[in-house]
Amino acid sequence: MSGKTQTGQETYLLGVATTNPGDKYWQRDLPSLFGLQNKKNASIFINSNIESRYLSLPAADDSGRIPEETSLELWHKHRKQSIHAGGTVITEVLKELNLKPTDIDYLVCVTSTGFLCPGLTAYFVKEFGFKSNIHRIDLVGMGCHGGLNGMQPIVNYCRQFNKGHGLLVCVEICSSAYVIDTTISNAVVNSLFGDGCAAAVFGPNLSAIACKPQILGFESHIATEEISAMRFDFDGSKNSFYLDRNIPYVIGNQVDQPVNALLKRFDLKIRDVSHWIIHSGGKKVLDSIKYALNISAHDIRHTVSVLRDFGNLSSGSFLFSYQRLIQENLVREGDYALLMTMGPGMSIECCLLQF
Amino acid sequence: MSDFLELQTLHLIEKEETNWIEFNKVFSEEQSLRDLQKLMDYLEDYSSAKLIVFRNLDYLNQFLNSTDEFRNWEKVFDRLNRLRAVTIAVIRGVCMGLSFQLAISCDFRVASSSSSLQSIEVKNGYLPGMIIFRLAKFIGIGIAKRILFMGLPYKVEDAFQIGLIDMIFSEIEEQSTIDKFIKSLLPVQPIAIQLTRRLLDESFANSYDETIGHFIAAQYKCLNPPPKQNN
Repeated sequence: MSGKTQTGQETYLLGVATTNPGDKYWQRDLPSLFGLQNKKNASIFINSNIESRYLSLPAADDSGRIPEETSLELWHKHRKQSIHAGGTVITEVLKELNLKPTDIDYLVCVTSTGFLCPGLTAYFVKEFGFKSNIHRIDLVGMGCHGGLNGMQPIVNYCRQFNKGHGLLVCVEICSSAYVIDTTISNAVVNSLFGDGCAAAVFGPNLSAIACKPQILGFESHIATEEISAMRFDFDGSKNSFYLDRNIPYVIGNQVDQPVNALLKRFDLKIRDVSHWIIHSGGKKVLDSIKYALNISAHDIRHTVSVLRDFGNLSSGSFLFSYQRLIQENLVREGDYALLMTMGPGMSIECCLLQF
Repeated sequence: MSDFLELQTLHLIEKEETNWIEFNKVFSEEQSLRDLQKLMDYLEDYSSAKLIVFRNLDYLNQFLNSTDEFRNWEKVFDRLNRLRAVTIAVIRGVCMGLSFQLAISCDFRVASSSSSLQSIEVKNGYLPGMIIFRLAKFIGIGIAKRILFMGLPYKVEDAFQIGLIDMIFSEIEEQSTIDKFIKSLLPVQPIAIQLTRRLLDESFANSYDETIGHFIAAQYKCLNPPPKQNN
């Protein structure tokens, strides 16, 4: 895709809805609930810059610990919570925009925390009565950057067809992908991720409502020499996520490449971007990106606050940050915003918006 | 002399690794701002200079009148503070108003023995700009209050004693003093300069626990050059 050469219908991000399934847990309480006696493992939770997370966990047993769930229980949890939470955000975003399910022409569901066949799109078509000829994609297994990958086909479709609307649903029940043990690797993962679900609608801004950003373009960057740095390992019964300790810095070291490539297509520089909406991947990766792009703590305030309040919500996290930007009510017409997600591959996805 | 940028209120000469920027005319504050914005664009996008020296600051002894003006000028000073090059302000005579702000936004200040620094804004009932934020970091709140509340000229010898001025030159030794100062800074490593400056600036605001994460991220960037792109 090339930025300014694209033609067709102007496509806007019209609205976003979010929800957090499960119960709210304070980060300080989780090490003992997970039975982590080791001080080093517990300190990983405390030093994560996360204060609270929503998780779908069984009640603690008599010993005060969350009982270990079987792989079947985790699978059922993902299915139940995904359909419920996904339904909640779809209802909310359609209501906010006064759209009917039959107004949606393209549906993309993104998840990496569970596998369903048929996929989530089929369940939502059945539940909401979307058109039987709706275009749909179930995007499974791309990880935290998948939300922007899911956005691209929707935007391409909307650009091609007048009045078309697309719906993106990112559903991540991260507590369905937990392996609770005493390893440092799992302590890092278990200290980071939270359950979250977000939906976004794209299409023409028919009523010319102010402050709906136009989607200008996308840019991808994949560094396959880091393909093993973020991955699910199947341990025989469960998927256990692995995060290489240096991957946050590797991302920081390469992040300027897609950012500058995207901005260059629109004759822009980093200094022209007024709003940065970055995936809340964790403290280390945010530090790394902040110094790599020479942007300020203020520039990533929404990303940091989403991390603090909810943890890493995987694919839908950037939509939570975007929602906070809109709620802040500071964006001005003409402002540029850059959306960025990072994840396995190693991959960095970027999208440029203009209000 | 290898490159040249000529604007209405200033010109830039690129000599080896140093950009020499000389203010040369008094125009309206708006024109000075426009020129400095253009200069910042040039320094960020095209210049490979590792050192930037600002001279004839007295042409910028101008004062602002509106919050919009302060906001726009502060953007320029902030950009100056984010450059990868080391910045040096050469001060002669009285340094006040915008020239004081620019001098404090630079990494270093070299001043003539007869020069002084002065801020009269608070005496006139308004704030002198984000110098209120930067000055306290250099010299502490106590002396910053003295300079800003009293509005009196602060002599260069006193400024040198407290670290606000880094080197003093006599009238006939200006160039040799600056050259000597520049030599002491070489070699300049741009990424390390930019990150060190930022971490130092943030050291007053951030906790140790926060800063150690920033330091590791910055150090990784210094020690690991990014791979080349395939496309």
